[in-house]
Amino acid sequence: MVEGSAARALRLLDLVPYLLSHPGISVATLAREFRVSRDEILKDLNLLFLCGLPGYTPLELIDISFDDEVVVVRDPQNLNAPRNLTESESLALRISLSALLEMTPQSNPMYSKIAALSMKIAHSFAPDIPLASIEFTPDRERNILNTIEKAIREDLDLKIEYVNLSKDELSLRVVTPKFVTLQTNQNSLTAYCHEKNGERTFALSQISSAMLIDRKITQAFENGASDSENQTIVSLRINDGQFVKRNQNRLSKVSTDEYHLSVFNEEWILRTALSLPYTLEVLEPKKVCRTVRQRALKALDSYAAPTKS
Amino acid sequence: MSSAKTERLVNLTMALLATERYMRKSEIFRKVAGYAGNQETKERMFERDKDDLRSLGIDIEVASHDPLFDDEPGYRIRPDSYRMPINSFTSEEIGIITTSLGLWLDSGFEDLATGAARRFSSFDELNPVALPISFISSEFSEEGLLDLSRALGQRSQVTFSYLKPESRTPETRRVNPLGVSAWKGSWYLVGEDIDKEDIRVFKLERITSKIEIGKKRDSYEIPPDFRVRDYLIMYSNAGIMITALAMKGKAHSIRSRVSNIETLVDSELAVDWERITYTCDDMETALHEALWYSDCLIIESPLDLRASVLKSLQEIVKKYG
Repeated sequence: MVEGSAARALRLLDLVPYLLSHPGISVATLAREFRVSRDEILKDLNLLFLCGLPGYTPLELIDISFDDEVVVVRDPQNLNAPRNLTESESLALRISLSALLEMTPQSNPMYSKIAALSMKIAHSFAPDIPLASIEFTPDRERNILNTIEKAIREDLDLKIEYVNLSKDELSLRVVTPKFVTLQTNQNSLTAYCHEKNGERTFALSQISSAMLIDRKITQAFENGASDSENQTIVSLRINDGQFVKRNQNRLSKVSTDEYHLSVFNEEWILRTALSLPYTLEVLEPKKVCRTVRQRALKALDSYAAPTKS
Repeated sequence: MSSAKTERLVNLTMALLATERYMRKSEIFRKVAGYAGNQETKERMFERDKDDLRSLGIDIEVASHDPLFDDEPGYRIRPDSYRMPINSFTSEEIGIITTSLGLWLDSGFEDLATGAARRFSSFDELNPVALPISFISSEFSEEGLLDLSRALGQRSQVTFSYLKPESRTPETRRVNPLGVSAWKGSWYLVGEDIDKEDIRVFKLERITSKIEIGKKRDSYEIPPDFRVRDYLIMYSNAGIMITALAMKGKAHSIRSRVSNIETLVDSELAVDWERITYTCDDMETALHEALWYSDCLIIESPLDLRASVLKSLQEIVKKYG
């Protein structure tokens, strides 16, 4: 078969530089690396003995030795460097680098290196295809969800990079996932956080990366520790159905538009009040009201003239 | 029989790679082991071998042996096109390359990507980089993507049957591929539709036939400034472009949407602040974000967004006064 012969010729051409850079490799490993049987690789090696440069004297033939299952190339002739990427391989590499870049958090030190390498590869391989001819936008939230589900299924923990919106912080957490809640507005993960030693809820949209790691059992998780002692009750006037729906578990209605809200994090309610100026008003505690006003004044000053922090 | 052909192909590649001048066919038949039989048989063998090597991606150059005369053509393989420019990559870069090629496992590209990764490993021990990424392999497997990439790589026209969203009968389309894009699990081809004389977008899952790749290579050119995202509605609907001063290392949730970071001219201000450009789905969300981050983000444009932020902040001062 012509195709079979050609594909095999390509494998032979690739075997020589590979052997050159892996002196003493075993036949079994070589067969595994090239995804063929041991018999097949032995036939390839025997055929390579017969190949070489015109003249075909012993001085011009490829010289390979294999004793005790160990293969060494003594003279590769002119097959001393790996074959270049084909156009299809170049594009496969460029697409996958584009994907890798999109999936790597920008905060990761590798991000800029991948970006620079993508440019370099686009110049070196298939340069007639412009860099912007290839785009990859991953389904980030679906990918994260998939990893979480795998962790739950296989009793693994997760190392997540989480954007804390209230504190405006990026934190690395090790969590033991418990369950995922899928809602129209916000999908979330409920998990035991080993950093905070308590159960926490994480919005999936704010998890920028998730990596599977071995489970870290703690007594606290078994006991289901919570941090309800840190909560404050805030009195609010709300005219925002979405906000009420999103926070229904923490809200109790006082009158038509007045509610009490359990708040675990003061920074969160301060930013919430600032970001919903027309539909939400904090009534109590007064300290929160004063801080919201001070922050708005400070922001107006910054808009007039930004200063050093 | 098959071993003899394999041996001849390897010998031919090595001979064409070794020659500094173009080798005539007669010289090839005389010098390269494996060409036997009468002239016609050898000619046929050589033509098939040449086609086989080219189909495997080995670039065989053809030129007149003597440029001054209408001579018998000669053949050679340029070492710089055959050999991977591997010395221009660092060990870490090779690690990133092999990690990215690993994304193709379980897809139609698996064999191709594994072969490429193995050749990179001829340079160094493979040290794939550890990245905190999660991905779904199905995002990387799409029927037809391999064929389209091949056609795009060699700039060959493709022909396929395509079922438009509101149609029941597929139409035959002849397309010059210009780019490919994945958008949240779906793959798209952007190409010049030859019959419609326009650039069109095709969703790969709507291609209902095998993709036929035209035999002619380099049958069209891709403009160097071509951007696949200019033709994909998902990107144009990506929302509004915002320019703002942002405190360095702050406003984390918008950082993944930042497309540009500029150092400020005012060196004193540049210690803490930088100018960022980012996108947001709509004005309402943009205002919400700008107010949420009002301690570390100062909107510069669009001007109506800036005006809305200022008005909202004044409203808060009044409300809590």
